[in-house]
Amino acid sequence: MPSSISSSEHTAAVAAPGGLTVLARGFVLTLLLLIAATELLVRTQVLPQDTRAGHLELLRTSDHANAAFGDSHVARGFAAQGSFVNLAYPSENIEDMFAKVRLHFAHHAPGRVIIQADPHLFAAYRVYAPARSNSPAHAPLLHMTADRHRPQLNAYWQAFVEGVGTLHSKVQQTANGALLSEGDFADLPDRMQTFEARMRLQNHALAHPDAVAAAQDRYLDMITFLTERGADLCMISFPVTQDYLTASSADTAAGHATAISFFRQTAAQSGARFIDARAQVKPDRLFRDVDHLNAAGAKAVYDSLIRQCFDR
Amino acid sequence: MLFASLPFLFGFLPATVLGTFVAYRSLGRQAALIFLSAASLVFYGWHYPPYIVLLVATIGVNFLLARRIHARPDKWLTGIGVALNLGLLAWFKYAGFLAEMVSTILGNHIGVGTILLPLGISFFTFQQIAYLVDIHQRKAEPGKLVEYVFFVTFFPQLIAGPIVHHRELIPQLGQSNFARFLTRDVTMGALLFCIGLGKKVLLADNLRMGADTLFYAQSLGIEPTMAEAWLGMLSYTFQIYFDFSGYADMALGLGLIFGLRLPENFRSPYKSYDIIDFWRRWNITLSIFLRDYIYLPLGGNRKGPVRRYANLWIVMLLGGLWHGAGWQFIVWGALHGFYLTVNHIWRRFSPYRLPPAFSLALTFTCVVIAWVFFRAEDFPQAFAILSAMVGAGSNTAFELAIFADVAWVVVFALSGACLAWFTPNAVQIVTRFKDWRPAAISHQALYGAVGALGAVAVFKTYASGSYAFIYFQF
Repeated sequence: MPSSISSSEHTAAVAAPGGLTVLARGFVLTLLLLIAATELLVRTQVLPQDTRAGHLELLRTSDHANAAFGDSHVARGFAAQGSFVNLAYPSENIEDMFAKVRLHFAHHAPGRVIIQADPHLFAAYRVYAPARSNSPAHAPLLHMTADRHRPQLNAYWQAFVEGVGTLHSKVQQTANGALLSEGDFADLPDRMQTFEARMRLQNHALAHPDAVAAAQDRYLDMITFLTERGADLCMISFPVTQDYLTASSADTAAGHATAISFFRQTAAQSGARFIDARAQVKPDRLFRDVDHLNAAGAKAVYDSLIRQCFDR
Repeated sequence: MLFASLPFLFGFLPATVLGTFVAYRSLGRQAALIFLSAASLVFYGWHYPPYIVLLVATIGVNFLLARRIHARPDKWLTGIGVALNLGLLAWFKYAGFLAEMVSTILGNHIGVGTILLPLGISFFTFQQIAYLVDIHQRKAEPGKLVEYVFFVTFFPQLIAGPIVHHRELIPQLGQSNFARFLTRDVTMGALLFCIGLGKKVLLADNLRMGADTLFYAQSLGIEPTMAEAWLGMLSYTFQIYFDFSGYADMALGLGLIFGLRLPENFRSPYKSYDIIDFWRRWNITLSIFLRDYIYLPLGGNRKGPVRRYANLWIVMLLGGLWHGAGWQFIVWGALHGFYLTVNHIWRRFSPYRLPPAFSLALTFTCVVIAWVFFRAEDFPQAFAILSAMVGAGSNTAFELAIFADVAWVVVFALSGACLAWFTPNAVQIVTRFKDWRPAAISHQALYGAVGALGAVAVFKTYASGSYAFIYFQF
């Protein structure tokens, strides 16, 4: 370090504090401004478009006998209509699904039930994820400090800047609980489509066999719970893009074939129907991304899924 | 513990600063020294306490050796001390690499198990080697144990440097500004710290997405285009600079808060006009260490040009290997050895001087190319990126498809370039504004802006955390 900024040679313990005060003032005022602006952003732009509260309300009040459970593949890909309710929500794992199944059918018998049967339910990021609460979260004094929002704050600001002053959610929550979404996978360049597929598959590779076995046990418990209560049960592997399918069949280490065998076997043993719909939607324009249908895709495939599941 | 983390910023740092000042004021210098050393050990062992034992053991052994060497200078004893330190470093850092090489040569598998690399071992090992050699050469005194413990463990420089010499730090402990609240020191320290934090959290962490995407895509079999390869590599080039120099700024700032001067480690390296100049501006304390303890003992430039170039290559290869156990690091060192050799030969024999802009661009390009090996997981990846950079791939050269937020990647790479080339560095800024002038609007604006920069960085850290410093892995 040059001697010009060598440490002070003043012997006085305290010198004029002006610079430090200005520095501290700049720090504190900016921090307060950021906190206030972010809280305002969350309250005025994020919360009005947040689907979690509406979803929990639907879960609490719905008494539909026909229901679908799963993660975002189901939430976005199953455009529930009529007597069906979609109780799936993004990022949920088997424990979350099972908790919801028990909650929803605690006081009435199940009718037609769709349970997700996608291989990535056994991926590490899912099987090791902590279980979620299905009770409405207690709102903290500052919403921005909630676990749900805090990791997203930078993304909210980024979306706000990109939206030139508005934060536009791409998700539309239907009365029957589906979280339909815009987006067109076909818009992406080919190389990006392939990259997205391979990246996603890395995340979707199955976890350690012990963890997978434990998760499969819980999945079986859920299926048993439903069949014992007389559910007309259908397990679905939801549609994914051709890029994703190609990547998953090329990467045997990801273990998806094993997972599909497990679902098929489980369905056979429990009397449920298993539909492997992964390759049933071909056009990329019906997907929002590499492994989620968009709103058009979800609507297009709905009748076919119901027919395959429940037409005997 | 990370500097850019909430436990450090709002727990460890204020408690340590306050505790040190109070200890000094109420119990004196020795108490402040002991408190600060104890706090530094807490800092070191935050994530994995067992390695505190290793650190303390190396301190004990080196201190005892230093006392013996000082009492009776002995080349062999010094050699044994250096070898012990290097042996420890070799075990933790290179055992797996060596076992792999031996396995390849012999055709038998030689396993050494999983060895967890102790944080900062490369830095505190070099620091202690320098100490032993300095004692042997009578450039330093062993001093007191408590001072030696402090010298090695002082948390701002413990994990990623700068590499400090005993003779630089210990005399400062006797000066009146150590461990006392002196507004000027604290202010300058806070300025440097905030700038460093901003560089790390707001720039380096964001530049990371461009660099990581390139290497991740290639590892998944996506052949990058020329534009993608350059954008990703420029992102990495600026990421590693702002990451490491941001850390160095924070370390210098923290030192100043305690009234201690740590050596400058970066001096705007991307403004270099040749590679010799680059190595006088990049990781300066490592360069000085390699010069003083390897290059000069090998004969430096005193034994003719051939020996000089051979010595340069040895130093750069070892410098590469110091960064990590992998052939890519050795190639990175070899490339810089080659660059330096060419540079010295050009200076010696060429009557021409290149235009400054061309020199700067050429130097920067050479550095970027060398970073490809430094960042790559293996040689095939490095060659794939390099071949894309020269346009040898089969894809459209200018497609930028692999970056999900390409506009942001470009924005951050451009911001990095502008700051690296067109603005003064943190030390220059603090030097220029060191004397607070209340009437000067520029001073008011600079101090306020740096405070705001610190706040934005803290807010981002609160929201999404920060990545470990790149040099923590070394």
